[in-house]
Amino acid sequence: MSSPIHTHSLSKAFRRHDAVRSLDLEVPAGSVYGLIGSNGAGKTTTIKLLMNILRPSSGTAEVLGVDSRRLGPRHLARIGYVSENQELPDEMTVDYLLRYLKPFYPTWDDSLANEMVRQFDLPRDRRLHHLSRGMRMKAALASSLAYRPELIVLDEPFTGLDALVRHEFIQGLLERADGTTILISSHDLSEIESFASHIGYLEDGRLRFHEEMSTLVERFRQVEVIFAAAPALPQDWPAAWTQPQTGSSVLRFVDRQFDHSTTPAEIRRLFPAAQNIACEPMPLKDIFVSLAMSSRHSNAA
Amino acid sequence: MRQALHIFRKDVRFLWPPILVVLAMTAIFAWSRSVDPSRFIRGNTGVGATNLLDTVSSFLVLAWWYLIACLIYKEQPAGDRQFWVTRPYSWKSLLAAKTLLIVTFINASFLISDIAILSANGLSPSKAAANLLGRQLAITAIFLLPAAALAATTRHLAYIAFALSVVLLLNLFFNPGGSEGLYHLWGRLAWIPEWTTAAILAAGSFAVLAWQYASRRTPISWTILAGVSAICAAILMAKPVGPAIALQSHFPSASADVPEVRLSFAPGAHPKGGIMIGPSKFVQFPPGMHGWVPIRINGFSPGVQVKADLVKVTIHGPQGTSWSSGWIHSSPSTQSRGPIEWAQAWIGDENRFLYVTIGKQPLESFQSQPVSVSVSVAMTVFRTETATQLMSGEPDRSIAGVGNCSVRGMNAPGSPWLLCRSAESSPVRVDVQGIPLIEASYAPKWGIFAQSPVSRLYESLADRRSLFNEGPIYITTGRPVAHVRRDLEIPQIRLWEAPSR
Repeated sequence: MSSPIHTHSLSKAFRRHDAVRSLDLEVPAGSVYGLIGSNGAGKTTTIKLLMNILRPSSGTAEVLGVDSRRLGPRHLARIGYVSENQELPDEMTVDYLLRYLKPFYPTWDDSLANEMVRQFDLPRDRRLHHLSRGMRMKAALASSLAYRPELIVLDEPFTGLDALVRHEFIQGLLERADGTTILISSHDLSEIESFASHIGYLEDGRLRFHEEMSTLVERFRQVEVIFAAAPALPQDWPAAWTQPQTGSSVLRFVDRQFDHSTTPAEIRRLFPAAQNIACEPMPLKDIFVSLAMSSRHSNAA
Repeated sequence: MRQALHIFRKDVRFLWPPILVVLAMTAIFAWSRSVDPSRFIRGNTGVGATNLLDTVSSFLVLAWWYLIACLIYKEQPAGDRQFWVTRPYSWKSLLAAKTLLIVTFINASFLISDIAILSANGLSPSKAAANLLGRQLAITAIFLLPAAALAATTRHLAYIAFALSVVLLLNLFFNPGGSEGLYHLWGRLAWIPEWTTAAILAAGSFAVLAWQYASRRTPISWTILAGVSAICAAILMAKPVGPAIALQSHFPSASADVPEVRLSFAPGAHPKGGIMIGPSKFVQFPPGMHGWVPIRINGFSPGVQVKADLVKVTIHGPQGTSWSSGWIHSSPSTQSRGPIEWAQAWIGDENRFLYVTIGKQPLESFQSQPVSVSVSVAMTVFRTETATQLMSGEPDRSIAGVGNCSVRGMNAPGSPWLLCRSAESSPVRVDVQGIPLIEASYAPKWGIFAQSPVSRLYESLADRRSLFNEGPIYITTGRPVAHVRRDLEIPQIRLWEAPSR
């Protein structure tokens, strides 16, 4: 099965600012692809390029097998898009929004729409501009899932939502998007971590890495080594070990290429005086911080 | 089409307030042009009526623009946060839906208003079908499409307000006379810049709309809009290529051989600081005037009258020096056209005399030197056509070229008033009791680009009331039958002395 989203050397420049630089992105079919990165990394611009909201400066993007610049009504009827900064038709009530959108989608499912309205506890007769931010996002999601899209694109959907609404949002999404490809950009790494199958890390418009969530989590470890006395860092410090911190009898660092079979042995080789070695899995948030910090250090250097 | 109707229904549902405003303003517009204008008269002039009609027209156009802005902004093509761009809208359906709403609530309501105005004024809408169609095309090209294009390339009403303010300011700066200024320059050929501008505006605006909805590439649309605006401004500011076009443009194609009309130098004529331009209206020459060349227009046969339209003065001094005014308009209204640094032409004494005044600058160049003066005058020749007798209180009578006429309000302020209504405009001279009431206008305000499908002549006859008292009022019309040019050579005069000799 071909990738629903595939980009090749995709770039976007605004005047002299390169927002996206030569991006090669591949979102596997059926995956939940989390696009993460700090503010200004290029996540939203990338998604707007994919949705044909913006036109690329160079390179190409294919969405559902079509050049993104040629995305038309037929293709958009198969894509669900929700964005935190999208302007909704505020004068419409929830009920009218769903009734209005129905004729646009041949695959619209009334029962599914009603079910989501109930599940999200959306007030049918209230205008969108009278709804809270969370309610508006849920209404947007309901209107984007009711036609069972093949691809769902979510741009920072959790921004400004409280924990309960986030939970409802994700529940609603996952329950009804089984097997659907989802591309989601978010700062909320803890939420992403709970359901993303793939992660792509954008920095300064470039895709620094992208891999399956399971291998990423497996690859990163917070390592703590206990010594009897203060340790000294060796000359041949491995490049994959980042952010070393030393105390009176402790050395901590992040191993970005952890391997059960080789890493402990390598630590013992470099630190024969090590008394205890602990390698703990890292949450996505810490991985993200680690990556961002090491990137800043290398940029500063 | 189904999607277009679906969007149209949605827009009607959510835009009913501005739609209601447009319909209400259209109704007021129709009423204001259907009701007897004497209702609006304050004092002895028709200024109150004119102001009210202008105000109503302005508010109607503003109501159109507001509706169009609201309509386009519902699904904005400009920007990158719009809801509709990620939904399966067909841009053609979206554009069709917007067009349908504009046609339904602006074009159709305006057409109904025009028909109502014609009917209320006792005129046949079917006979004015071409004019009605022309007015629809004109408002679409000049008011609706540009407003839609502007809205399609902006995101807030403030941008539209700013753009329109800039256009108005530029118009005031470069074209202070507005459409009348255009007529002043182009005469009856004013339709050339008018329709060229309208066609370019319409084509450019439509191109921007289609481009914006299809591709949403706003910077390119701005470039197109700026280009279209620049071309239109250049056309509106352009002057006719030469006097030949200007001359031809001021007259209908009718012609007659009138060899008897001629010019002569009248050194004895004394305008005495001003001229009479009506039975009781004396216009003073402005201060700072240094000399004039009085010219008599001779050779009228019975039933023929002449109006000097354009004048050119060339002064030949010793040693080959010369100065030429170029073609200038001759009209009493030129008195308000700034300091006299050039030459001006004044018509007076029932069009029998033409006083060419020469300003300080050219005079000083030829001070105290004998010069020869060449004067060229382009004139309209009128032939009296019909004479109609009207009595106050009688029903309308049809007068060819003027319309259905009656005398109103014998006892009202500024009364009586002559009211004529017509569905067409033509350059007709109207005399009352043998004294000119209106000149044959080469700048008709009526027609497609006017504010009403009905041209209404509403003129006070108060200043000649003594001529008819309670008796019949004789209306005489004259049609332009020819335009002629006459040249006069005045050898060896001294400009300083010309006025008094």
